[in-house]
Amino acid sequence: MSDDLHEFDLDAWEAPPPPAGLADAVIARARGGAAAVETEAPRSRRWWLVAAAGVLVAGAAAGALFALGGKHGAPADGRVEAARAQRLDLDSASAELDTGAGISWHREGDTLAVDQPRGNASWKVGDHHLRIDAGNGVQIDATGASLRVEVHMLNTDARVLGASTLTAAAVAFVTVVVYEGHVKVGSAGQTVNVEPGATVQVQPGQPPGQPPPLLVGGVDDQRVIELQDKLESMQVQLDALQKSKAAGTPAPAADPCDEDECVLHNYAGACCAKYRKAPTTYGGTGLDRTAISEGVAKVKAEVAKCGEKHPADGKVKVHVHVAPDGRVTEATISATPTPELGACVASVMQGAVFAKTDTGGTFLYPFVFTAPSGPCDADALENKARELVAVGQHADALQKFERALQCKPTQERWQLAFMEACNLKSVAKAKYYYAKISNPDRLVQLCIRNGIGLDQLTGEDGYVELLSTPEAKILVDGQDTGHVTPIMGHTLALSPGKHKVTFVVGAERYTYAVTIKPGETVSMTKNLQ
Amino acid sequence: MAAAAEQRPVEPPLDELTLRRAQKGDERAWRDLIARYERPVHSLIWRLLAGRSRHRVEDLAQETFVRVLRALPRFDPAGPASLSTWILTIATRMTLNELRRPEHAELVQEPPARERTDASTERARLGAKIAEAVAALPDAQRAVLVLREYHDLEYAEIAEVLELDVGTVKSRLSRAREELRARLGDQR
Repeated sequence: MSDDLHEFDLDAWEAPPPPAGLADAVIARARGGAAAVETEAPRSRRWWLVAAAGVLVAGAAAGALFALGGKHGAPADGRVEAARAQRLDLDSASAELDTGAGISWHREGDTLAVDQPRGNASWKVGDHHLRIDAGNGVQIDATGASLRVEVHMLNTDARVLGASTLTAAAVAFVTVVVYEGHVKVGSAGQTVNVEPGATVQVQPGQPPGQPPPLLVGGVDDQRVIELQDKLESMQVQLDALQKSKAAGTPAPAADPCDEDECVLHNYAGACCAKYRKAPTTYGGTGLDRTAISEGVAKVKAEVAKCGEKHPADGKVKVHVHVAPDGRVTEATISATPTPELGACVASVMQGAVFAKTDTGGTFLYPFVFTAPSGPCDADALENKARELVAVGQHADALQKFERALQCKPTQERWQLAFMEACNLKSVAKAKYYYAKISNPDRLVQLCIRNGIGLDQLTGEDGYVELLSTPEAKILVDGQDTGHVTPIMGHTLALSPGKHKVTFVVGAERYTYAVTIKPGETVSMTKNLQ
Repeated sequence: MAAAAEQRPVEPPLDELTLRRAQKGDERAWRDLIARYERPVHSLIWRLLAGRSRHRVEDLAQETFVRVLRALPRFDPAGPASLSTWILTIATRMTLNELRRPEHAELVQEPPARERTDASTERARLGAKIAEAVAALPDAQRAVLVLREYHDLEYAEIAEVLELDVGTVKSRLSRAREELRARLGDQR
């Protein structure tokens, strides 16, 4: 509270408490992409309000759809392809299917046996036994439970395949989220109990609990995967600490110099220096992991384009030798699914620039590519993108819309891409798509609501000149520009409006606001020593 | 009131591990995050709407957290904004957008606080007077005042939230305080 109005008891104006069930409503919407959920509704009702949008059946059992809450005696077996989010009532169990989900079911005594080869569904089962086969030997058993099963596909056009023709190899991994009750998840001969509130991910052919590889735009990020592994181990420690706390026993003190602690605190503190400075597992002798990740990140978009130009499934391993001045002196390919793809990646890596070091270094970096299956299918890509929009994955959605545009540009797809660029607050992309759409006035409000002004969409770019002591890496609005100071002339163009310029010197960051005007150059000189 | 300010509990920020789990989509962490921030978000929206439709407050609070959860993977804990400020930014901008909508004028004004609380208490009466005074402020001034006086944001943070210069924040805050003093002159 400020002192300036201290003569008044402003706290006398009391706000009411937040409504009960806010978290339930928010999470239901965040998970399911449904419209607003009533927070005052009883819990059981709230559950059913999730994702009950349109109803469209493409399968042998169209009669299996029932009105909300209705129980009319569902058929003993059937199949449903959900072209839109919909609800199924199967008497002993119920499901909320996301768009694109496909299931078939039959009864075996008291057991409802379900095949869910693709898509996402939230399930609720009473006293009966629900068994879900999610493909490739991944099986979920539930009784008296509510849970969500997400079958993630490798093929972007898996939605259009019929259930009978879907190949098991298309399943990339399965996520099971348990809200209530007890659920068992089995795979590769092993079964785990999943408690309420827990999530487990299963890769076909592997025991439950193995996280899937994280794919970022078709290229794996070694650093992210490593951090994920560390985070998982921290989760185990956290659970142990919480149990210890609940039991009233003293928890063991965390070692501040444990490498996991250092990773989670960005290597802050002197005792973490030994990890920060440690040589990389790639065999580097001067480049550390951060420098490699940052250098690779600058060219990752170009590497991804190699995958678009030369589609192939598989891993490209590139050996990179970096000189002390940060320039790549050699990039050789040791493994590649096709020579064209390998040559393209090597060419891109040859142009990468890394941080300057005393000795330079050599490392091996793997890029994983996933080729789109089948011919370019713009409709399938657009449908997938719309699904991603529904669950709030705007970055992935924009990528799909862009691929759909590459396949077959239409005015509607330009509009959709523009909307996603606005949702992502990407001024550059929003400006690009703004110029493509025919009815900008109708859609521009979305950008404005996301903080992108009309002048930023229509105006001429301005420029920023940056000088600093010492040299600094430059981020604009949190995104790495790939430039280091000094930056002069028209090297760094920015859209009109306010931006945040961040100077990165080692682990330190200095952020300043700058206002860009069309056609004008703003200069900024900073002493960061 | 200075004494009230000193007594107001300072909520600890969400711990880093919970934040990282929330960024990965862990539902327990989501619940922890919402539990930690639902009260400030709800009260911020309620005060920015200045007592108008409670139903809209709940919708906006819900929408704020849905957007927070969806955008959370992109939140940079090392960035210039703290998680708390980032969440309040989303809530503030959504509410100000709501206030700009033409249909906003048709929103139902809830009864003043003194009709809903114990009218015999002096504090409830003062609360109602403050509510009326704050509600009379222009939206832009009210936002600055609420963020400063009720959420303890620094000038620079308010500037960040509202995309204003710090000087503009100070001048708006000064005008808002003057207006409040004028309206509450006999309430100290």
